[in-house]
Amino acid sequence: MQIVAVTVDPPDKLLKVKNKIDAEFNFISDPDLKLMDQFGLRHENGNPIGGDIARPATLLVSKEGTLLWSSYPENYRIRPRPNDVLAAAKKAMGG
Amino acid sequence: MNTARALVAFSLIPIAMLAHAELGRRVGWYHKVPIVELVVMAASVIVLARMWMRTRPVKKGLIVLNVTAWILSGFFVWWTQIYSSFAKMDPAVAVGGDAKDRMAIDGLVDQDGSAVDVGATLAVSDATLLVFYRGHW
Repeated sequence: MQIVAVTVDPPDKLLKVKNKIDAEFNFISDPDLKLMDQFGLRHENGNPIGGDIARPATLLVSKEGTLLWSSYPENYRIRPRPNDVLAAAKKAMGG
Repeated sequence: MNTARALVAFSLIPIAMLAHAELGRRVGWYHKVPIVELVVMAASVIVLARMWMRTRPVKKGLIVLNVTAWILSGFFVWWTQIYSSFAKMDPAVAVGGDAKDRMAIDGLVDQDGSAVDVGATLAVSDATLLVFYRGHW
């Protein structure tokens, strides 16, 4: 399974975060929220200093493009825990 | 003695706020309703309020501590229960639905500034975990 993190931040900020957390996965910059809009994840005026940002969400998509599992927290402080995601992925992928 | 008691009661409020932030950031300890922190804050506010009501003459410092405690506690409740909450959403794609067509987006770049075809990246692995996050702006 690969991980792709998506946010509105510009590439330089993404690189900074990637290096900071020593991430082995890639980040995608979506400043115009094009991908986010496709999944209904625009949080209008979510940025306290102005502008729209992503509503947090985690989607597991198969190689063929089928959505296998998703999580849309109703509070941005609450994220699915890694173990919960792994368990859901294992179940969704028939493991 | 009373001053020390008031200061201890008051200091528990920012400590609870910091503990909430650090536990979430460092060890992934999240709760929709952070009950322990809220109980600590409520206890602190009650202790300070009781001291205010019982102390005569009322000291200016005690009033400042009480008002600051209310503001901090109110901010914490607002942030954790209102500001950070979203309305329940209807997912654009249901589990089992096709998400690939929605990924055919131009203009996306990775952390190196290189163009990315998200749909094409699906082929790299059996499954792809797309994590949308708020970012650091």
